[in-house]
Amino acid sequence: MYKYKLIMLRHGEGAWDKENRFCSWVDQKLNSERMEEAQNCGQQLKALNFEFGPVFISILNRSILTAWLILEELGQERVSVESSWHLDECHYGALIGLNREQIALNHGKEQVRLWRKSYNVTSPPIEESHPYYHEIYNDWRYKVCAIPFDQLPRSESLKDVLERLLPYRNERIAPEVLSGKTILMSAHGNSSQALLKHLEGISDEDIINITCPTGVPILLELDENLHAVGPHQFLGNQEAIQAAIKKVEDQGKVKCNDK
Amino acid sequence: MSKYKLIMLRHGEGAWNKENRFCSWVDQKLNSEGMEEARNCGKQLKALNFEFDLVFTSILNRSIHTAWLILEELGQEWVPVESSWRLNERHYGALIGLNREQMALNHGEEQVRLWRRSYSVTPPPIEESHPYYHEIYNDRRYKVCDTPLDQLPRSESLKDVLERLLPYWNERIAPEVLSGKTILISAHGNSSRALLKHLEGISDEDIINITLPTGVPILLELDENLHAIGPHQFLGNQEAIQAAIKKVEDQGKVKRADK
Repeated sequence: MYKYKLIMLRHGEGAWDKENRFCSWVDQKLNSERMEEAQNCGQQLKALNFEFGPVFISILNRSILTAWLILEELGQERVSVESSWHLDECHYGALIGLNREQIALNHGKEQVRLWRKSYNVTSPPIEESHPYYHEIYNDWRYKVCAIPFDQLPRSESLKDVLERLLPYRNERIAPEVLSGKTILMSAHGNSSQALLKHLEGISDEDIINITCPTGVPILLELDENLHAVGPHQFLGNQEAIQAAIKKVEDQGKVKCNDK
Repeated sequence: MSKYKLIMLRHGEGAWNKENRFCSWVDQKLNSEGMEEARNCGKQLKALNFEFDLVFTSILNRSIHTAWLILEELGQEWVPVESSWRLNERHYGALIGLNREQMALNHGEEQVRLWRRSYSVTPPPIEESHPYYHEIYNDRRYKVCDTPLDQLPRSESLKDVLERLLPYWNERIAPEVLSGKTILISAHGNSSRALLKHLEGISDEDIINITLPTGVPILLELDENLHAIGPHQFLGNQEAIQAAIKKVEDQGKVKRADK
């Protein structure tokens, strides 16, 4: 029997989604399709009568805008929203901004899948010469984080994501859940995966097979120790959700047909 | 010499501004003009290189949306936003939703001006029979305030606004200003005025003559005791600002010409 509920979701991507590029810490905006996805998500949560306590987001604007759009649909704009780099997407290092197809052609589908989906394989670190290095690290938001600037990651595995996310979850999120509030976390593909792994006790090997579709509310029911009482549930039309999962999975594959 | 800077603003228009009705605690949305005002405000603040650490809003969605639009223009969506009923617009009691022109015809321009602009004159309280009573008080946001629902106002003078705002200023906002943070307060016509009165030491008689235009950033420079060093300054094109002030002032007057 569950004691607490938590909703998390993975925001929709922006322009780079269509171009099949790793966005990661680059602060891409949501495109209009993904904004609509967020609004639909909000409408779904409204139909299910969710009333949220605090909302937790990363400091990447696509997770923030997703949260704002959802709160607007719910008529709950006044709910407090807390942002932290701890919920940022996995840092893809030198692969940031690169097209997944091209990487798959150069390194093989399996290497890309490993980089994207394995637990402890870290992509090569981002260097100062990377076209997006300064755009990321010169942004003031990374100068006012909880940890010193030079200790912020330059590349991460999913394991690294969980390691930096867990203290934040324990210190800030868990107490809110334990106080009985219904939490919404608007995060990213990998930061959501990392948290699911922890709460559901998913193994390092199995996490590679977990795909979170974009813009779909993910319900977790937790016991008094904040462990999941069952597998996470995607809320909404199940066929549409399966199609959305497949769409995300296909992003890592090379297109076989000519355009 | 100023030690601290603070920006506050009065959110932009909603549908009822055009209809000349007291909006007060009814949770009207910004109309498209109001949204544009907010964006222009954000652009102005961006051009002046403002980097905010914290934003305070009321729990009325028009002040929150204004803050969000400004943060979006600034590329500072990640900045924390804190909302409190204590920054809400003045509670206009039984006058909520009524058209200012009609009231001016029925009660005279001077009575309307007194209700709108005096310091200690309280409008008649809102009753349960009022068309907007339940819309306001049934909303969950008023059940999770720091004040029990039955002790929330049913009508306020500007003096009452300051009395409920000051503890919030002293306990939440002032310490952040004193810690050196750059604060944005996205509020309403009367809650902004009340705060200006306090910080600038404006008399009860003079406050009646202070009109704040919508969507214009108001800069306050404060000394080490958080007293204003000079009068507040409207940032932006001064002619446009004067026109905006006049527009607000004209809202209380009866139209003399036939339509």
